[in-house]
Amino acid sequence: MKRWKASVAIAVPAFALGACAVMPAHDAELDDARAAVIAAQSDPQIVSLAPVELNSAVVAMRRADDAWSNRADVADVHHLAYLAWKQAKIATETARLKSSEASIASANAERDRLQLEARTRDAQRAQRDAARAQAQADANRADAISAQARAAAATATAQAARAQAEAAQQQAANAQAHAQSLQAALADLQARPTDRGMVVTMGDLLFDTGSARLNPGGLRVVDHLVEFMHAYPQRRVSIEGFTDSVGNPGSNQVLSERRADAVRLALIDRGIDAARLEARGYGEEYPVASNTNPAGRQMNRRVEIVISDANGAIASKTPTYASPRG
Amino acid sequence: MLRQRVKRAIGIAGAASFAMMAAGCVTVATTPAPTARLAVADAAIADAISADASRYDAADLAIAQRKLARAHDEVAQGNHDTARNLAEEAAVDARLAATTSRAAKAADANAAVQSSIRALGNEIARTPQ
Repeated sequence: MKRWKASVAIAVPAFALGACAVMPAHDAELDDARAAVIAAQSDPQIVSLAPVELNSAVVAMRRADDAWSNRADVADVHHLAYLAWKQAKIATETARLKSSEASIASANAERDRLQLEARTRDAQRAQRDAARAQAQADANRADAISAQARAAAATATAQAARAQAEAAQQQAANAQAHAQSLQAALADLQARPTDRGMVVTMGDLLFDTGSARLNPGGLRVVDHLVEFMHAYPQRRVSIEGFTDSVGNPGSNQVLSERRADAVRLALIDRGIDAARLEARGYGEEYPVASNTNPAGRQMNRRVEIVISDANGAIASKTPTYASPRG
Repeated sequence: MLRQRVKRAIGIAGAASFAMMAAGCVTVATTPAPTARLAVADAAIADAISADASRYDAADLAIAQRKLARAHDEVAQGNHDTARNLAEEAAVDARLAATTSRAAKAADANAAVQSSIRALGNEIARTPQ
């Protein structure tokens, strides 16, 4: 196609020149037109984009050349040359138009591609933003939940502390009440503090004379002791019998043992566990007063009830306790 | 026989060449009015106007319009051949005006779309991935 056109381009002027050899060699307007047509034919863009218009120009040029070689009227030759010249320009402008249109078409495709890319990026960014916001919201919610949990834990701790404080207070109050009631109970028993703890002394007058039998006054003391031991179940007692030095030491020993045992049995009778009770007789040992006068001897004839500490422990009787024998 | 034949051939050739000369060079006064060509030129000018030639290629449009007007004058004076040539020229002038205008508009549109592509490309390059 291109080659054909090229051969036409060469053939047309050659034919024209050959035909017009006898005439004036050149016509300026014809030459101008021919130059325009040849220029269009040698432009590859015009050849490929405006073939129809280029062909019109070539045909018009051939007509002009024919007219010239046929010695046509100069005005007619100029007219045909004008048409060929304008057709060449039309071919040029058509190629320009088609080129722009092709460029616009591919540019539109490119623009569509870029717009799609931009939209895709926007969408991706929006998605990422949304994901970030979601993660932030999740983190915030987690923070809120853990803060709530911390607050709840703190509240619980405070409540526990308060409860503990209240319990401690209650315990203190209880302990105080306990101590007060213990004090009161011991006061009832007329207990007195000693190195071994509180000691209740049952005097000689609480037993029948020369006997281990408790009289009503002695039994009243025993009843107080029972109440005390019911109220304080951890406490144990050591029941210890003593006599004066009048008479046979052997019978004194027996009497002291029997009196201590009488108290022990009376307590067991009234429901006190035997395991909480110890009973011993010491005879004439450990006098608390002089045996040289009746009052002193009466004080020495006694049963001492040693009350344990809160854990049930009773210090054993030591020789240092002994008062000087009179 | 041969001579007669050659003579006749020469005679035919001579007649033919005379006829060709007459057709190519002699203006016949009785040519009909170039109505069709005037109509073609008229349509070409209308097309050029619709392609905004008055804005993009006013010179060629003006030439076409002037020549068409002169063609009508020539027709009125009975100069049909001159009128036909003028109408033909007016038609190509108008076609050139139309094509030039369309090419100019396409070039503008192309520039616009190229610049929008550049803007888009810049925007995409600026925005983070």
